[in-house]
Amino acid sequence: MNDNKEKIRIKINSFDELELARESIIKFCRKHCTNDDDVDIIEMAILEASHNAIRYGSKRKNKSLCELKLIFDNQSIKAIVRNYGKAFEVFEKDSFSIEQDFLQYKNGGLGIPLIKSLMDSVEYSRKPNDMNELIIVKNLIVNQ
Amino acid sequence: MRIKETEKNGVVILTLSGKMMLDAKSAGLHDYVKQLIDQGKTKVVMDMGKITWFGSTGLGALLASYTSLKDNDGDLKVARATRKIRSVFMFTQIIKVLENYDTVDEAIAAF
Repeated sequence: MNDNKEKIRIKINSFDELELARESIIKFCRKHCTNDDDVDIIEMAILEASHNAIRYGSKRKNKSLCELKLIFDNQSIKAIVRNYGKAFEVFEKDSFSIEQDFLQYKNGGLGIPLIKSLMDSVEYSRKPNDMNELIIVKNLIVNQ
Repeated sequence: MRIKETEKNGVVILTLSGKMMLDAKSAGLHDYVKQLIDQGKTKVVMDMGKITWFGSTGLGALLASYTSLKDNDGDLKVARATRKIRSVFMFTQIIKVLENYDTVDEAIAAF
């Protein structure tokens, strides 16, 4: 595993650009994760968050539809996903059950429960100027 | 996402391919399954070996299809789910209700 801290920032303005950004996300995860399962899980969570940011975000002058920052700090990978638009619900609980939660959703709204199931930490905050910020973290298994 | 329908031994096989994300076709998967139920076809296998992108819309469509089939005395089996999809099944506990089979024939035999 690489010992250096590393950050990358990706500006995304469309679903096509997200498709291109996907390669950078996978490359970043592969560089810092020791197993393929972590790469898959982090990739899916980031794509889900970014996809929703693009879908529900609104375009602002000189701002991208979705701004994604990836940070590796030796023990975890953190993704910060920002967009502008309506606030959204992130649910207070951290764990979801198949019977009580997933099978009950009929019309969408599974994005955050899916991300929470895949990642170790999910934090949402509402910033000035209608900015949404979602911070998702996956703790990595570090080889001793 | 594309859907191809075939039938074997009284079981409908839906071969899904492409991106199971936020597009009308992904969301429409549940409607497709409801039409099958209206035709009395309640045993369904979803072959997910060609899915390249799986998100919450796909997950929702899958679960809604499962619930509708169960409510009509049917069942849904999943075959050839990719490693990424299997990870989602595991982390969301969906594996408790939706078992993945290595081949379509194994999924059909499980009914």
